[in-house]
Amino acid sequence: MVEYSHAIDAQISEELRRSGRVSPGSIPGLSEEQGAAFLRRYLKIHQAEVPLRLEEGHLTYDTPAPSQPQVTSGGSAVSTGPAAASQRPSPVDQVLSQPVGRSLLDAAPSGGRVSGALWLLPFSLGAVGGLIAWALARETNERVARQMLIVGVVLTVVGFCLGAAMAPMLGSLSSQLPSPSSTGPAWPASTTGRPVFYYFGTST
Amino acid sequence: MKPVVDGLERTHGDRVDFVMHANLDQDGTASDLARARGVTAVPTSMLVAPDGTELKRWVGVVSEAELRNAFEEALPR
Repeated sequence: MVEYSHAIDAQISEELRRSGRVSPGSIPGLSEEQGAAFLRRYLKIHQAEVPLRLEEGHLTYDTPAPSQPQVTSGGSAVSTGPAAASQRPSPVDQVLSQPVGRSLLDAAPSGGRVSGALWLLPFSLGAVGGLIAWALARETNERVARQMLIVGVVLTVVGFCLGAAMAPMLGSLSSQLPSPSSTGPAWPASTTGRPVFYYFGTST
Repeated sequence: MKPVVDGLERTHGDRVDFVMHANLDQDGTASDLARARGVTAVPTSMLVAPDGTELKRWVGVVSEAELRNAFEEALPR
């Protein structure tokens, strides 16, 4: 299953720039059905940036009527008409000329593959590891990153609960261990009420 | 070590009970008792309070002065 990615987004942009129209079946490596789905997603992502529309499944520019005044980014109206339209850069060029920043596509991670080694972090460090793994993986796949964070937190909570549950058990175990020599009556009490000195050795 | 203990018995025998097992190599009963008390090497000496609490254990040869000090600390003033 091919995921929607920056590369596919750029491919559609390039095709749109080149021919002004993208067909669902014209995207290499994709079925027509998948191509149609990706074109719909492209439209959803970029419709605020470029006037686009889907026409019978094909993605094209949604060119405004010539009588409508065009508004620049500064907000002032500019002249319209065939001459002005010919001088106007294409919508894609308008987008490309904007300062590079965080686009809508960046805000929606593409669901890429996250290294399985990152799972070691939540399993070995608990919530802290989950947080680190989440920070490392969220750009690639936010869903997996969230799962890593949840696993880390859950493991930590479970660990605390187990520790709390086993504490009384460990306490009773430790009470069964031999007591240190300085505590507890390990020897018979003296019949005379005096301290007793024991000597184990040889006669020399 | 045994002469040191004998000397202490002479000076402190009226205030401290002395239990001597000086022939562990021949006395099987004493050997069993020593094993039960966790004695793993000879000589081993223990000072036990009247209630049976082990106050001090010495493994190996120990000086008379050290034993004497321990006795003085253990005895009621």
